[in-house]
Amino acid sequence: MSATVQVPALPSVPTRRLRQVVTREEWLMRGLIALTGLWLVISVVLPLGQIVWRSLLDRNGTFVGLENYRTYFTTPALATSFYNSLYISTVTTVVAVALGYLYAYAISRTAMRGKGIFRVIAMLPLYAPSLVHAIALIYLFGNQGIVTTGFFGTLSRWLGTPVRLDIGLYGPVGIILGEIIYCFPQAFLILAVAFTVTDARLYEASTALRGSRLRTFFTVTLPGIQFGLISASFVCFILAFTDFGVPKVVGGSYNVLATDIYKQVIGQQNFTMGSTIGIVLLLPTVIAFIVDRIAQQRQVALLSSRAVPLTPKPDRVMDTLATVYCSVVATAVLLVLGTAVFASLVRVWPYDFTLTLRHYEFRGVAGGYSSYWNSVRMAAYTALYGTAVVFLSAYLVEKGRGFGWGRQVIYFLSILPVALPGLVLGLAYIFFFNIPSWRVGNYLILNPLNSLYGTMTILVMSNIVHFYTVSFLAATTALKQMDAEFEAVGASLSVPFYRTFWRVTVPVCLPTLLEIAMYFFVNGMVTVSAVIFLYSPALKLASVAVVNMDDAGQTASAAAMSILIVVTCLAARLLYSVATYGIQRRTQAWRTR
Amino acid sequence: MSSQPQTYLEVRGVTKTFGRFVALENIHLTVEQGEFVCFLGPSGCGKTTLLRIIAGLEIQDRGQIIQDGRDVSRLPASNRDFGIVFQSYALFPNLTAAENIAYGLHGKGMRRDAINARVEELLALIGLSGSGGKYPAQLSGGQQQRIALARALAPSPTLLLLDEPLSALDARVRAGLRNEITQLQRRLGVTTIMVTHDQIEALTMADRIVVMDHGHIVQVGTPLEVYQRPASPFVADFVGAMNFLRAHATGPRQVRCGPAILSLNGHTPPLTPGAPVRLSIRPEDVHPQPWQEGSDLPANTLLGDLEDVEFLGATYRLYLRLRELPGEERTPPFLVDLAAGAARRLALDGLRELAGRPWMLHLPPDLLQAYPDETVSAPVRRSP
Repeated sequence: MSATVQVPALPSVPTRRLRQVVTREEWLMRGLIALTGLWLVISVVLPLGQIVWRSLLDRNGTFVGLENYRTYFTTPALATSFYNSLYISTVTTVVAVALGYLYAYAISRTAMRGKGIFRVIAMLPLYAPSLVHAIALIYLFGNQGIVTTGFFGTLSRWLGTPVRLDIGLYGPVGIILGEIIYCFPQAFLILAVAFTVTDARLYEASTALRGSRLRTFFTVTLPGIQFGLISASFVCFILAFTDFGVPKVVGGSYNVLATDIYKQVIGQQNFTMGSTIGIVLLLPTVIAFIVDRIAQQRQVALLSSRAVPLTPKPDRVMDTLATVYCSVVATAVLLVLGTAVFASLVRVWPYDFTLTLRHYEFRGVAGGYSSYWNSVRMAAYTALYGTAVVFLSAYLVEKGRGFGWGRQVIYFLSILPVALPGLVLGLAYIFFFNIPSWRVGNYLILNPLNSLYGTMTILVMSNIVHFYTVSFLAATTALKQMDAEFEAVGASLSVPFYRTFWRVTVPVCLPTLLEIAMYFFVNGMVTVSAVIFLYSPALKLASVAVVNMDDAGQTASAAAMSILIVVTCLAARLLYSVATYGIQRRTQAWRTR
Repeated sequence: MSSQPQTYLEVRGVTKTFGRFVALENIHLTVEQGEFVCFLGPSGCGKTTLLRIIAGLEIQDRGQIIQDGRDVSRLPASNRDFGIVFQSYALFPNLTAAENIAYGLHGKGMRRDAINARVEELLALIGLSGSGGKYPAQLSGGQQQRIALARALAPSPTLLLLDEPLSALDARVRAGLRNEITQLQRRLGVTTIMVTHDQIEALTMADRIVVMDHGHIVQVGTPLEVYQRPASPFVADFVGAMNFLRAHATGPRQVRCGPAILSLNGHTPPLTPGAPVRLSIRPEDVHPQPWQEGSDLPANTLLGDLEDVEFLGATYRLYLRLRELPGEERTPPFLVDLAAGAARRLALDGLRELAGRPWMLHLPPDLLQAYPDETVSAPVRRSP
C-alpha cells in the first residue's frame, strides 16, 4: 500500500489569505522594527509637529492660523531676509558648482599630476565649521585684513601712495565668499563621483563615430553627469540657504533667514516668529529635496554594472590648464585655512606678529578646553550610537521580514531629516523637550522626555537626526550590495537572523560602518546650527564657543578653537584611514575588489 | 510493503498572487521519498515561486504544503526541515569554506569535534578535502557551488532544494557538476527538488520532470515521457526541438497534410475526422532521402527543398522548406537532424551544393503526434 499521509484538508473555499505563524524570532524582529519606528517618531515626527504647531499660535498660545506667516511677509525687515537668503544661495550655488565642476573634471578627466594632493586639499573645508572660513576672511579682507591693508602697508611703502584694497567684506560679499568655500568641497565630491561613474565605452563609441569634442561633450559628458549637477546644485543651495556660521560672523547688518531665527529666539525670545521663520526656511529645502529624490530615481536606469571606467590620456594643453586651475583653487583653500592658523598663533594682530600659543590657553575666555572636550565626547557618542541606530534601521528596512508598511514608514522618516536645516531641528527640539506637559482636552499628559532637556543625550540625539539620512543611505547601499539570499540561507539552516546579522552582515559592512562613524564624528565636531539652541551653560561646546568668542571680539581665541576642531577632525580622519587600511589588509583574503 | 514509494511532500491546491499577477494557480503535486524532481519552465512560469513556498520563504495565498506527514503550510523557513542552494551560491564571503559548511551546525548542541568531523566528511563528499581553510573568493565558481551544496546538506536535511544551481557556471563545469549532484543525491537518498529553465539539466538529472507554464503544471512525467510524449505543443516545443505541421484529421488515426495523407499509430487519442490538428515530430525522428524528380513517394512521406545544412559536430541539422503546404512560407523551416555517420552515407559532405535539391522526408507513424489545433476555429473541408 502506498502510504498516503492523513492530514486534514483545508476548507474548500478559504476566506482569507494565509499568514505565516509568527515565531519568537519573528516577534523579536517586529519588536525591533517597532522600536526603530518609535525612535523616529520621538526624534523626528513629534518635534517637527511641535514647531509647525507653534508657528500657528500667537505669543500667548492662541491659535491664529496663518497669521504669523502674513505678518512675516508683510514686515519689510523680515521679508527682506528671505530675499537676501535666496540671493546669497543662488550666487553661491552657481559659483561653487562651476568651481567644483572644473575641479572634478580636472581630477577625473585629465592626466595631470598631483591628483591625490589636490583631492585632499579640496576636501579640507569639510573638516572645519563654516565659521572658520568667515573668520579667516576677516583676517584677509576685514578692516585690519592682510589684503585690505595692502600687506600691512608694505604695498603702500612700495608704491609710495596709500593703498587700501577694501572689498566691502561685511555683508553679501563676505557671506557669499564664505559660503563658496563651505560649499565647494560638497559640489566637488558629488561631481567627482558623477564623473567617475561615466562609462568609457560611450567615449570610445563617440570617437569611433568621429564625433567632435564639443559634440561628445553635449551627447556623452553632460547627460552622464546631469544628475550629479542637479544634486550638487541642490546640496549647495540648501547648505548656503540654511547656514548660520558665515552670516553670523561676516554678515554685518545684512540679514538672512538663519541669523533672523537666532535673533528672534535668542535675542528677543520670540519663539512664535522663530518657528515661523523656521518653517519658511524649511520650505525651499523640502522642495529641493523632493526634486533631487525624483532626479536620483531616474538616474538608476542610466548606470550599467558593465560600465568600463575611463582612463584619461595625456594631453599637454589640457593637463597644463588643469594643473594651473587646480593650483589656484587649492592655494585659495590653503590660504584661507592657513590664515586662520596664522591668526591663532600671532600675539596681537596686526601689531605684534611674534608667534605664541597663548590663544590656545583660552585664558579669560568663556568656555575653553571644557567646551572642547564636551564637543569631543558629544561627537564620539554621536558616532557610536548614531552608527548603531542608523545601521540597524537600514538593516531592518532592507533585510527585515514582516511589518511591510512599518518598514516603509521607517524608510520615509529616515530620508526626511536631510531636508531639515539644523536650526529648525534645534528649535523643534527645544519646543518638544522643553514642554513639561501637553493639555489634550481635559487631560494633562506629562512629557517623560522633559528631563532630557539640557543634557548630553539631547545633543547627541539632535546630531544623530541631523546627519541621519546620508548615513542611512550609505548603510542601505552597502546592504543592497550583499547577496539577497544570505537571510534565506540562514533561515534554511535554522540560524536566527540576529546571528547571521552579527556573523556576516556586520563584518561584511564594516568599512561602511567606519565611514558612517567618521562622518558622524566630524559633523558632530563642526556643527553649530542644531546645537546652538540646545547646549546648556553647564555643557558648552567648542563650535558654539567659537561663535561666542567671535561675538565677544576675541577673534584670535575663536580662530584657535576653530583650529583645534579642524585638527581633531583631521586626526579622526587619519584614524579612520589607518583602521580602514588595517581592515583591508586583514580581510583581503575574502574581500574582492 | 517497503518497496512501495512513500509520499514525502504534498502540494495541495496552492495559489499565489502578486497584486493582480497570478503566479501559481491551484497547484497539486506529490513528491516521493528520495525522488529527484525538476521544476522546468520558462522564466515567469512560477517554478521559483513554488520552490520558495515549499521552503517557507514565501507564503501561499491558499493551499497546503504537507512535508513528511506534517502540515507545514504556515511555518516560516527557519521552522522547516530543508537545505537550499541558490544560483548565486550565497556563500558568506567573510567565512572560510569550512566555516560556511559548519554554519548550520553551531548552536544545535553539537560538540566542536563532532562539527569538525562532519565538516571534513562533507568536504570529502564533494571532493574538496583540504580546501576548508579557503575563502569563497579564492575558489572557482564550481567549487563555490559545491561548498554551498555541502553547507545545505550539513545538518542532514530530509529535503534538498536547488534553485537554478548551475545557471551561473560555464558550460564545461556545468556538465561535470550535473553528474556530481545526481550521484550525490542518489547516494544520500535525499528527496530533491530542483528549479531550472534548462531542459538538458532536467532531462539528465531528474527522476521526474514537472513542466510549468503561466502558473500551471502542464505535464508531470519521467524525462523519457516528457520528451517522447509531450502533453501539449508547449511542452513539445520547450523540451528539445520540434517540427510542427498544420493538418486535418481524415480518420481516427489519419490526417491530411497538404497533398499527403499521413497515418499515426502512436499514443495520440483517436481523432475526430475533419478537426484541425497540429502534427509534431522531432528533427531526429525524420528519415530523409534524396528524391529523384517524378519518382513515386512512399507512404507517410513529405517533400521538401533543402535550404541549408549546419554542421554541429556529432550531427548535421538540415533546414528544409516543405513543398505544397499552404502558408508554409510564413512558418519556420522544417528541421531534420542527422547523425554524422548517416550524413556521410548520404554523401552530405559536399553540403552546400545540395542546397535547393528536393528531399523525401519519411515521418514514422509511431513517432508522429497530433494535438487538437486550438488556433483554428472552423475546419476547412476539402475533398480528399
